[in-house]
Amino acid sequence: MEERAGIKSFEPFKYINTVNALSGGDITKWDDILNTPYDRVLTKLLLNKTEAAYQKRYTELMQ
Amino acid sequence: MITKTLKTTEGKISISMPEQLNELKLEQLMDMQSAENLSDLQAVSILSGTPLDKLQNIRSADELQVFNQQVLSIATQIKYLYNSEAIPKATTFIIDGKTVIVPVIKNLSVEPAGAFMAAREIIAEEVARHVKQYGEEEWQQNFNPSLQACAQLLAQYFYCKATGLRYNEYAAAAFEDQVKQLPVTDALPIAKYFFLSYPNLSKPRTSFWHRALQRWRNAQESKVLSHLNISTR
Repeated sequence: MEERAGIKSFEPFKYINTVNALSGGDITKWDDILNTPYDRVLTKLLLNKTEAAYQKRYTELMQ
Repeated sequence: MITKTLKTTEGKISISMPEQLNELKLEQLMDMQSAENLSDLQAVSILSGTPLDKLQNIRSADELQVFNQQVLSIATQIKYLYNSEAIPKATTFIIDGKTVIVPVIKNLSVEPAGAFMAAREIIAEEVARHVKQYGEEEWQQNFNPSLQACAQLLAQYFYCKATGLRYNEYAAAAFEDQVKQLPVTDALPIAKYFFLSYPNLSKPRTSFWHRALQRWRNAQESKVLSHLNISTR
Protein backbone atom coordinates (compact mmCIF):
# COMPACT_ATOMS: atom_id res chain seq x y z
CA MET A 1 0.00 0.00 0.00
CA GLU A 2 2.77 2.45 1.00
CA GLU A 3 4.74 1.63 -2.14
CA ARG A 4 1.70 2.11 -4.36
CA ALA A 5 1.15 5.50 -2.73
CA GLY A 6 4.72 6.50 -3.67
CA ILE A 7 6.67 6.18 -0.42
CA LYS A 8 9.88 5.77 -2.44
CA SER A 9 9.68 9.41 -3.49
CA PHE A 10 10.71 10.27 0.10
CA GLU A 11 13.99 8.32 -0.15
CA PRO A 12 16.16 11.23 -1.40
CA PHE A 13 15.42 13.09 1.84
CA LYS A 14 17.07 10.31 3.86
CA TYR A 15 17.00 10.78 7.66
CA ILE A 16 15.36 14.20 7.32
CA ASN A 17 12.13 12.21 6.90
CA THR A 18 12.58 11.01 10.47
CA VAL A 19 13.48 14.48 11.73
CA ASN A 20 10.51 16.03 9.95
CA ALA A 21 8.14 13.40 11.33
CA LEU A 22 9.40 13.91 14.89
CA SER A 23 9.11 17.69 14.62
CA GLY A 24 5.54 17.42 13.40
CA GLY A 25 6.67 19.17 10.20
CA ASP A 26 7.97 22.23 12.09
CA ILE A 27 11.31 23.14 10.50
CA THR A 28 12.27 25.39 13.44
CA LYS A 29 12.48 22.25 15.62
CA TRP A 30 14.79 20.29 13.34
CA ASP A 31 18.00 21.51 15.01
CA ASP A 32 16.74 20.57 18.46
CA ILE A 33 15.87 17.07 17.30
CA LEU A 34 19.25 16.65 15.60
CA ASN A 35 20.87 17.59 18.93
CA THR A 36 18.77 15.24 21.07
CA PRO A 37 20.46 12.12 22.52
CA TYR A 38 19.79 9.24 20.16
CA ASP A 39 18.25 6.97 22.82
CA ARG A 40 15.55 9.55 23.40
CA VAL A 41 14.77 9.83 19.69
CA LEU A 42 14.63 6.06 19.47
CA THR A 43 12.20 5.89 22.38
CA LYS A 44 9.95 8.42 20.66
CA LEU A 45 10.06 6.48 17.38
CA LEU A 46 9.16 3.31 19.25
CA LEU A 47 6.31 5.10 20.98
CA ASN A 48 5.00 6.42 17.64
CA LYS A 49 5.13 2.95 16.18
CA THR A 50 3.33 1.43 19.15
CA GLU A 51 0.66 4.14 19.03
CA ALA A 52 0.12 3.64 15.30
CA ALA A 53 -0.24 -0.13 15.75
CA TYR A 54 -2.66 0.41 18.63
CA GLN A 55 -4.76 2.89 16.64
CA LYS A 56 -4.87 0.51 13.70
CA ARG A 57 -6.01 -2.42 15.86
CA TYR A 58 -8.51 -0.24 17.69
CA THR A 59 -10.01 1.02 14.41
CA GLU A 60 -10.26 -2.54 13.10
CA LEU A 61 -12.04 -3.69 16.28
CA MET A 62 -14.48 -0.80 16.12
CA GLN A 63 -15.54 -1.63 12.57
CA MET B 1 60.06 11.01 9.21
CA ILE B 2 63.16 10.72 7.10
CA THR B 3 64.45 13.85 5.37
CA LYS B 4 66.77 13.95 2.36
CA THR B 5 68.09 16.89 0.39
CA LEU B 6 68.22 16.36 -3.37
CA LYS B 7 69.64 18.45 -6.22
CA THR B 8 67.21 20.03 -8.66
CA THR B 9 67.59 22.14 -11.78
CA GLU B 10 66.81 25.17 -9.61
CA GLY B 11 69.03 24.32 -6.66
CA LYS B 12 68.17 21.95 -3.82
CA ILE B 13 64.98 20.52 -2.40
CA SER B 14 64.38 18.99 1.01
CA ILE B 15 61.96 16.04 1.06
CA SER B 16 60.54 14.48 4.21
CA MET B 17 58.94 11.06 3.94
CA PRO B 18 56.98 9.15 6.60
CA GLU B 19 58.75 6.08 7.89
CA GLN B 20 56.01 4.78 10.15
CA LEU B 21 52.35 4.34 9.33
CA ASN B 22 51.30 6.66 12.16
CA GLU B 23 53.01 9.47 10.25
CA LEU B 24 50.70 8.93 7.29
CA LYS B 25 47.51 11.00 7.19
CA LEU B 26 44.17 9.67 6.01
CA GLU B 27 44.15 12.31 3.26
CA GLN B 28 47.46 11.01 1.89
CA LEU B 29 46.12 7.46 1.78
CA MET B 30 42.97 8.71 0.03
CA ASP B 31 45.07 10.59 -2.53
CA MET B 32 47.17 7.49 -3.17
CA GLN B 33 44.09 5.32 -3.53
CA SER B 34 42.38 7.71 -5.93
CA ALA B 35 45.41 8.15 -8.20
CA GLU B 36 45.19 6.05 -11.36
CA ASN B 37 48.32 4.04 -12.16
CA LEU B 38 50.23 5.61 -9.28
CA SER B 39 53.83 6.23 -10.34
CA ASP B 40 56.77 6.26 -7.91
CA LEU B 41 57.05 10.02 -8.41
CA GLN B 42 53.36 10.51 -7.57
CA ALA B 43 53.72 8.31 -4.49
CA VAL B 44 56.68 10.36 -3.27
CA SER B 45 54.77 13.58 -4.01
CA ILE B 46 51.76 12.46 -1.94
CA LEU B 47 53.76 10.94 0.90
CA SER B 48 56.13 13.90 1.23
CA GLY B 49 53.62 16.64 0.45
CA THR B 50 55.96 17.97 -2.24
CA PRO B 51 54.29 19.26 -5.43
CA LEU B 52 54.83 16.94 -8.39
CA ASP B 53 56.30 19.68 -10.60
CA LYS B 54 59.04 20.34 -8.03
CA LEU B 55 59.93 16.64 -7.93
CA GLN B 56 60.15 16.64 -11.72
CA ASN B 57 62.95 19.20 -11.43
CA ILE B 58 65.19 16.75 -9.60
CA ARG B 59 68.37 16.34 -11.68
CA SER B 60 68.53 12.56 -11.57
CA ALA B 61 65.53 10.30 -11.11
CA ASP B 62 67.90 7.82 -9.50
CA GLU B 63 68.16 10.14 -6.52
CA LEU B 64 64.54 9.37 -5.65
CA GLN B 65 65.43 5.73 -5.21
CA VAL B 66 66.59 6.56 -1.71
CA PHE B 67 62.88 6.60 -0.83
CA ASN B 68 62.03 3.23 -2.38
CA GLN B 69 62.44 1.48 0.93
CA GLN B 70 60.07 3.94 2.66
CA VAL B 71 57.39 3.55 -0.02
CA LEU B 72 57.63 -0.23 0.11
CA SER B 73 57.58 -0.30 3.90
CA ILE B 74 54.54 2.00 4.08
CA ALA B 75 52.71 -0.07 1.44
CA THR B 76 53.34 -3.25 3.48
CA GLN B 77 52.18 -1.64 6.72
CA ILE B 78 48.99 -0.36 5.05
CA LYS B 79 48.18 -3.90 3.97
CA TYR B 80 48.28 -5.06 7.59
CA LEU B 81 46.48 -2.00 8.93
CA TYR B 82 43.25 -3.13 7.25
CA ASN B 83 43.36 -6.25 9.41
CA SER B 84 44.03 -4.36 12.62
CA GLU B 85 41.20 -4.12 15.14
CA ALA B 86 43.02 -2.20 17.86
CA ILE B 87 41.08 0.99 18.55
CA PRO B 88 43.18 3.92 19.81
CA LYS B 89 42.51 5.22 23.33
CA ALA B 90 42.38 8.79 22.03
CA THR B 91 43.10 10.83 18.96
CA THR B 92 44.27 14.40 18.45
CA PHE B 93 42.94 17.26 16.33
CA ILE B 94 44.40 20.70 15.74
CA ILE B 95 41.41 23.05 15.76
CA ASP B 96 42.02 26.77 15.28
CA GLY B 97 45.66 26.20 16.21
CA LYS B 98 44.78 24.44 19.47
CA THR B 99 45.44 20.81 20.25
CA VAL B 100 42.28 18.90 21.14
CA ILE B 101 42.57 15.35 22.47
CA VAL B 102 39.41 13.30 22.04
CA PRO B 103 39.09 10.07 24.06
CA VAL B 104 37.84 7.28 21.82
CA ILE B 105 37.92 3.85 23.42
CA LYS B 106 35.81 4.99 26.41
CA ASN B 107 33.08 6.55 24.28
CA LEU B 108 32.25 4.81 21.04
CA SER B 109 28.63 5.94 20.82
CA VAL B 110 27.69 8.24 17.97
CA GLU B 111 25.82 11.18 19.45
CA PRO B 112 23.66 13.24 19.17
CA ALA B 113 20.76 11.92 17.09
CA GLY B 114 21.73 13.95 14.01
CA ALA B 115 25.23 12.47 13.97
CA PHE B 116 23.86 8.99 14.61
CA MET B 117 21.35 9.17 11.78
CA ALA B 118 23.85 10.66 9.33
CA ALA B 119 26.45 8.02 10.27
CA ARG B 120 23.88 5.24 9.87
CA GLU B 121 22.98 6.64 6.46
CA ILE B 122 26.62 6.65 5.32
CA ILE B 123 27.08 3.05 6.46
CA ALA B 124 23.79 1.88 4.93
CA GLU B 125 24.67 3.42 1.57
CA GLU B 126 28.12 1.87 1.61
CA VAL B 127 26.74 -1.55 2.55
CA ALA B 128 24.01 -1.24 -0.11
CA ARG B 129 26.62 -0.37 -2.74
CA HIS B 130 28.68 -3.41 -1.72
CA VAL B 131 25.67 -5.73 -1.69
CA LYS B 132 24.59 -4.48 -5.12
CA GLN B 133 28.04 -5.22 -6.50
CA TYR B 134 28.87 -8.51 -4.76
CA GLY B 135 25.58 -9.90 -3.49
CA GLU B 136 24.11 -10.17 -0.02
CA GLU B 137 25.55 -13.54 0.99
CA GLU B 138 28.24 -13.17 3.67
CA TRP B 139 28.74 -9.53 2.69
CA GLN B 140 30.56 -8.83 5.96
CA GLN B 141 33.36 -11.23 5.04
CA ASN B 142 34.67 -9.18 2.13
CA PHE B 143 33.20 -5.77 2.92
CA ASN B 144 35.80 -3.07 2.42
CA PRO B 145 34.32 0.44 2.76
CA SER B 146 35.81 3.29 0.73
CA LEU B 147 38.15 5.70 2.49
CA GLN B 148 35.77 8.49 1.48
CA ALA B 149 32.96 6.81 3.42
CA CYS B 150 35.33 6.27 6.37
CA ALA B 151 36.17 10.00 6.43
CA GLN B 152 32.50 11.01 6.21
CA LEU B 153 31.57 8.63 9.00
CA LEU B 154 34.36 9.80 11.31
CA ALA B 155 33.40 13.44 10.67
CA GLN B 156 29.97 12.66 12.12
CA TYR B 157 31.46 10.78 15.08
CA PHE B 158 34.07 13.40 15.96
CA TYR B 159 32.42 16.74 15.12
CA CYS B 160 30.69 17.46 18.46
CA LYS B 161 33.30 15.63 20.56
CA ALA B 162 36.22 17.56 19.06
CA THR B 163 34.66 21.00 18.67
CA GLY B 164 32.35 21.03 21.69
CA LEU B 165 29.74 22.67 19.46
CA ARG B 166 26.09 21.76 18.95
CA TYR B 167 25.47 19.37 16.09
CA ASN B 168 24.98 20.94 12.69
CA GLU B 169 24.73 18.66 9.67
CA TYR B 170 26.62 21.00 7.32
CA ALA B 171 29.43 21.74 9.81
CA ALA B 172 29.70 18.05 10.68
CA ALA B 173 30.05 17.14 7.01
CA ALA B 174 32.66 19.87 6.54
CA PHE B 175 34.59 18.45 9.52
CA GLU B 176 35.71 15.74 7.08
CA ASP B 177 38.64 18.03 6.21
CA GLN B 178 39.86 17.80 9.83
CA VAL B 179 39.34 14.04 9.89
CA LYS B 180 41.54 13.68 6.80
CA GLN B 181 44.44 15.03 8.86
CA LEU B 182 44.22 12.13 11.32
CA PRO B 183 46.88 9.43 11.20
CA VAL B 184 45.58 6.39 9.31
CA THR B 185 46.47 4.28 12.34
CA ASP B 186 43.77 6.18 14.28
CA ALA B 187 41.20 6.76 11.53
CA LEU B 188 40.91 3.34 9.93
CA PRO B 189 40.48 1.13 13.03
CA ILE B 190 37.79 3.48 14.42
CA ALA B 191 35.95 3.61 11.08
CA LYS B 192 36.22 -0.16 10.78
CA TYR B 193 34.68 -0.55 14.24
CA PHE B 194 31.60 1.44 13.21
CA PHE B 195 31.18 -0.33 9.89
CA LEU B 196 31.40 -3.74 11.55
CA SER B 197 29.16 -2.72 14.46
CA TYR B 198 26.37 -1.74 12.10
CA PRO B 199 23.47 -1.81 12.78
CA ASN B 200 24.23 -1.76 16.55
CA LEU B 201 25.76 1.68 16.36
CA SER B 202 24.79 3.16 19.68
CA LYS B 203 26.56 2.38 22.94
CA PRO B 204 25.32 -0.92 24.40
CA ARG B 205 23.10 -0.55 27.48
CA THR B 206 22.45 -3.11 30.15
CA SER B 207 18.94 -2.32 31.33
CA PHE B 208 16.04 -4.38 30.07
CA TRP B 209 14.38 -1.34 28.53
CA HIS B 210 17.44 -0.52 26.49
CA ARG B 211 17.92 -4.14 25.48
CA ALA B 212 14.32 -4.14 24.26
CA LEU B 213 14.96 -0.96 22.30
CA GLN B 214 18.03 -2.52 20.81
CA ARG B 215 16.10 -5.56 19.62
CA TRP B 216 13.44 -3.34 18.11
CA ARG B 217 16.03 -1.29 16.32
CA ASN B 218 17.78 -4.41 15.03
CA ALA B 219 14.50 -5.63 13.61
CA GLN B 220 13.85 -2.26 12.04
CA GLU B 221 17.27 -1.97 10.49
CA SER B 222 17.48 -5.45 9.09
CA LYS B 223 14.69 -4.51 6.68
CA VAL B 224 15.55 -3.61 3.13
CA LEU B 225 18.32 -1.00 3.35
CA SER B 226 16.82 1.28 0.78
CA HIS B 227 13.79 1.81 2.98
CA LEU B 228 15.77 3.15 5.93
CA ASN B 229 14.35 6.24 7.58
CA ILE B 230 11.16 6.20 5.57
CA SER B 231 8.84 4.28 7.88
CA THR B 232 9.00 6.55 10.87
CA ARG B 233 5.47 6.45 12.12
